[in-house]
Amino acid sequence: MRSIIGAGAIWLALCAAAPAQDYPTRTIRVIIPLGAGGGGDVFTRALADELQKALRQPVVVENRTGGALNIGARACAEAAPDGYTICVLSSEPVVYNQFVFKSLPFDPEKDFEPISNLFFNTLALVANSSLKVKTIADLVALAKARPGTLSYGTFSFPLAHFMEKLKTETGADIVRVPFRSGSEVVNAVLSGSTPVAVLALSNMVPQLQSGHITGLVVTGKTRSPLFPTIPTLAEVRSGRITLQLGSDCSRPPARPGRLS
Amino acid sequence: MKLASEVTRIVNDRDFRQRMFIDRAVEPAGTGLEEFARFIRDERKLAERIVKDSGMQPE
Repeated sequence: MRSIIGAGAIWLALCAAAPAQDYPTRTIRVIIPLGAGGGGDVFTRALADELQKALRQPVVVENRTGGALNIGARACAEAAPDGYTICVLSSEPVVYNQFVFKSLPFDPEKDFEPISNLFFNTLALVANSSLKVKTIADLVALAKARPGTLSYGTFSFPLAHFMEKLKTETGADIVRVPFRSGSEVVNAVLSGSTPVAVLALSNMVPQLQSGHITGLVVTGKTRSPLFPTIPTLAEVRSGRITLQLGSDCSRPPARPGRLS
Repeated sequence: MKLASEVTRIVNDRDFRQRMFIDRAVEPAGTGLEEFARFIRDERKLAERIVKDSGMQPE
């Protein structure tokens, strides 16, 4: 399954006019609306390092978090369209938030000029391994046995929606705890303060490999090659609940332009 | 555009793909901008339906 909604698409946007031939001649700023240390941030910093080598100019990453990713998206939209601000955006501000909020401080259909579609995340429902749950059924049973005591973490509406739908379908009582980034969610799961999460696998590869976090299900159509023992949602829930998200690289438009 | 071509070159680099995609359970997008624009349009339709179906009121 590939969709910005459940697989975490990430894209790169540019808020800028076509740069001059000698571009770049100074520092390039990369805005990401996510917190430091999460999967999107790690990728963005690696990309920035490579761009810096290739373009022979500093490429500086700026985390602008909060506001359901609207703060960073707004900073991108309001940046000077000169080619020196680029943004790594995910599906929340580009696709979802226009339907979640009454108004946005940017126009997701006009304020970003796409540079590249970067990747799709595989999302997973996970739990702190000390809970000793291996499947969704285990989690639901535990939640029913301990109503109101379990909590789950996430940082975006589509991910929360997935869990809320699961709760409605199963009667599981798991309280939502909002976070600002994937790294915050992973820390909360590891500490046990919020032991369940819906999150991209890329945020927690070492923790899954070490066994500190248990993957219950992934949202893709096929199992992750890196974690082939985690079943897909379609396998365990007959495809009744789906989820995906994505990200890209984009920029403010030099001229009135549309992403779609 | 120089920036776009550099991004494309970087994300297609074998070492970068291994480190940033394969080793991190991430799926490279591998789509052109036209296909991506269609994807975004489709996603917006889906997102609108999901939010509506959720019964959630816009904040």
